[in-house]
Amino acid sequence: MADHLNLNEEQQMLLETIDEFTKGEVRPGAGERDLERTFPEDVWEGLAELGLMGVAYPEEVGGVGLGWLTHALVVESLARGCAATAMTFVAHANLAMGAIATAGSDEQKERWMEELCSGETLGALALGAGEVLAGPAAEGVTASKSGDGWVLQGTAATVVNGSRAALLVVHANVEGGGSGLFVVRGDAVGLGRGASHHTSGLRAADYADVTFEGVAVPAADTLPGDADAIVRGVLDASRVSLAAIAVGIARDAFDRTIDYSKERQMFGRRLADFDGTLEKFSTMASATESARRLLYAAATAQDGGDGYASIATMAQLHAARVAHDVAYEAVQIFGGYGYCHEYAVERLQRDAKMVEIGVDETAFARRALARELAAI
Amino acid sequence: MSNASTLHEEARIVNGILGEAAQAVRDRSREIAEQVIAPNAVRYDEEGCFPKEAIDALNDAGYMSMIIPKEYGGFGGSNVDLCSMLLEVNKVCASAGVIASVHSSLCVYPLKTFGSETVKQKYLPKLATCELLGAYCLTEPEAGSDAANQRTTAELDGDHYVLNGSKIFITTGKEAGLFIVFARTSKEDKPAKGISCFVVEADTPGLTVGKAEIKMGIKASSTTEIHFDNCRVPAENLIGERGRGFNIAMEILNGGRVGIACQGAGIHAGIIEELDAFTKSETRNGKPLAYQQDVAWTMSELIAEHDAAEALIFRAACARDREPNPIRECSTAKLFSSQACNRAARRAMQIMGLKGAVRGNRVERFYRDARITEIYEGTSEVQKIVIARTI
Ligand SMILES: Cc1cc2nc3c(=O)[nH]c(=O)nc-3n(C[C@H](O)[C@H](O)[C@H](O)COP(=O)(O)OP(=O)(O)OC[C@H]3O[C@@H](n4cnc5c(N)ncnc54)[C@H](O)[C@@H]3O)c2cc1C
Repeated sequence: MADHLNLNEEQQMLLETIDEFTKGEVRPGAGERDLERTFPEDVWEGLAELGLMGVAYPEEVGGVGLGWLTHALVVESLARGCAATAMTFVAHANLAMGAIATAGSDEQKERWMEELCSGETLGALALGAGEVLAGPAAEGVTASKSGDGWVLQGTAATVVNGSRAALLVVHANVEGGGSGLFVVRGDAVGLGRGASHHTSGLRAADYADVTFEGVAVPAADTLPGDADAIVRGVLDASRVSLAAIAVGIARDAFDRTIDYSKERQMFGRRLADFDGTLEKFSTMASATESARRLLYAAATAQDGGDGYASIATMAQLHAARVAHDVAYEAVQIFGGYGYCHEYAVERLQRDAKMVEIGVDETAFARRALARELAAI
Repeated sequence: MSNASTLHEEARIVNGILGEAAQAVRDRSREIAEQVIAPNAVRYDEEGCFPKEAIDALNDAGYMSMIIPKEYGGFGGSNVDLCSMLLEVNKVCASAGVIASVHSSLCVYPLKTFGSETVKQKYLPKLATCELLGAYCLTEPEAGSDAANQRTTAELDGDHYVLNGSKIFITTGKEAGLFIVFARTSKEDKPAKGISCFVVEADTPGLTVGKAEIKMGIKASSTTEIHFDNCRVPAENLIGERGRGFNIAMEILNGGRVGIACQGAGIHAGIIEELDAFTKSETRNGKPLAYQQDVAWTMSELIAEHDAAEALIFRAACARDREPNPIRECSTAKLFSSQACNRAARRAMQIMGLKGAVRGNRVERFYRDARITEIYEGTSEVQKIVIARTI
């Protein structure tokens, strides 16, 4: 329970709703989706019906206006049922929506936020400018001026929701210097999508390359402001959500471990009765709880406004490590069964590893954090 | 036999300086691994199919008969030779690695060590040519780490034993021609007593292959249930003394653990090779990733742990060439090597990012394969219990 958070009634109700949804709708198909690499279609529709995509965003733009802590709790809950679904949600609700909500003009927000908040349109953020994310050797996307508008050329690598998104916010290098943010419809002429990458974990999430071959973007569809700074802000916000996915995985792994250890009998005892197992429980529990507290602290700071980037990075770093440690230990405690798909914990370990990799893709953020802390 | 006969020789081997024969095995194994197995390894993992070319090539070289004495048509090699081969095979394909290890360590070994002359004559030549592939059936749903809790029974009926019960998680279950099987021959007060060991041909009526597991890794190595339903086995197929099965099972596993340690260190070596190539070709801020300090530090730790694992493995192999059942040497090699290769996989994937996390990449495959080494042939916890008893 998140009772130490002093949630108001509305938040608590919402949390109960999402927990129930996770249990009933998200969790049951998670193993199958992992095996088949299928996008959580039904789950997505259900989530849209619950109206949770815009939990963090103000009501004026179609959101729920409950802030980032609530958002983090939703992500955590989803991840307890299926981390890949949570990742899909984060790419949509943090990355795509975040860029538009922070940078869009009133007119632009009006145009795009509602369909994103309602979940009618799936969004993605395509990072195609080198400065912010030292991604895996992507050639990047370049925007050149053409009449009133712009033309996009190039590739954005491994975009989450990349092969399916109907609305993409593209961060591209601008010819002649700087970068810009361009909003593109999925069916734009010249927009191509690679097949979803066959990843080790988070297999139901969609990581695909998106290509732009002379995609025209009218001036009205570019987001105003300093694109690098906007993207950095959106990524800071997403770090809290990635920490929430990690915490969700760790909690799921821990809960499953406790249940299993109470059932499994050996040497005339329950597995839960061995000293060594108890020692593992306490290590797993304290790690998970520390990650959870740090997550909530980061999300609360995020609601407070400025100056939460460092704690967000710390929460992500810590939670991702904890998720892997805990999921790894869960596999160990399940023994041979832990190695088999049927018992789910091997999936949690693979998912945790993908979340941990996310930490290094933001090596940039890690360096920034270290520099800030050491004042160098 | 190229036994390490003196301490001096053993010291050289533990330092990685193999004798001529073992070095020849290692070199040839590396060639087979690189030329025949590596090109197929990704496909084996994707399709989850039996690694046929790999096992065929090892068989052609005589290495599937590595520890079978020459008089039974075997290669007549030592445990050092066996490890030299397994390290190289696992470096490119951990599924082929475990199939080869189980065949020799868990099937050939008990037959040649505890089997009667009749049984040896009957089966060793066929195992030597891979006409029969070997498997080992100890685990049951209620008897994993607690292996003494066997429920499968074997009742003497005339000159046959009648087997009833079910085994799970049997490596090579689908393809094996010969099974080493443990079953209860009497109800004693002490659960470890009253268990006996048998050798059972796959086509014996009453033996059926059940469900295959969908696993995280070693996908080209089948893992199945094996059911015995009034399965009649000739009494001469009893391996070792009746009622001594549990001790036999443990001694077999003790040797098998060195094979799994080789799996870990082989995987570990493959990861280092992959990471080395990646960090030298990938650049950050204009210089190879390999020269970035945190990356170089990680690489150094991976190398230190790999070298330590290999030293423990050759220490164990030498010990096994000298005495039948060296517990501490085998369990420390398995415990350390399995944990180290998992650390290596996790850290290598971290450095490689998504490139190391997509199917088709060796680090991704080895990240999943590595995980099993801490689980089978005695979990890490079991190794710790066993090692603690040697103090
Ligand atoms: C892919 C694969 C292939 C396999 N191949 C074979 C094969 O060919 N033949 C065969 O016979 N078996 C095989 N096995 C079975 C394997 O050896 C067992 O899974 C292993 O011994 C663990 O048993 P278990 O799965 O029942 O786990 P359990 O014994 O239930 O263990 C669960 C947890 O309890 C821990 N534990 C156990 N004992 C203690 C204790 N005393 N104190 C504290 N903690 C303890 C374990 O370390 C583990 O963490 C295979 C398994 C797999 C997954």
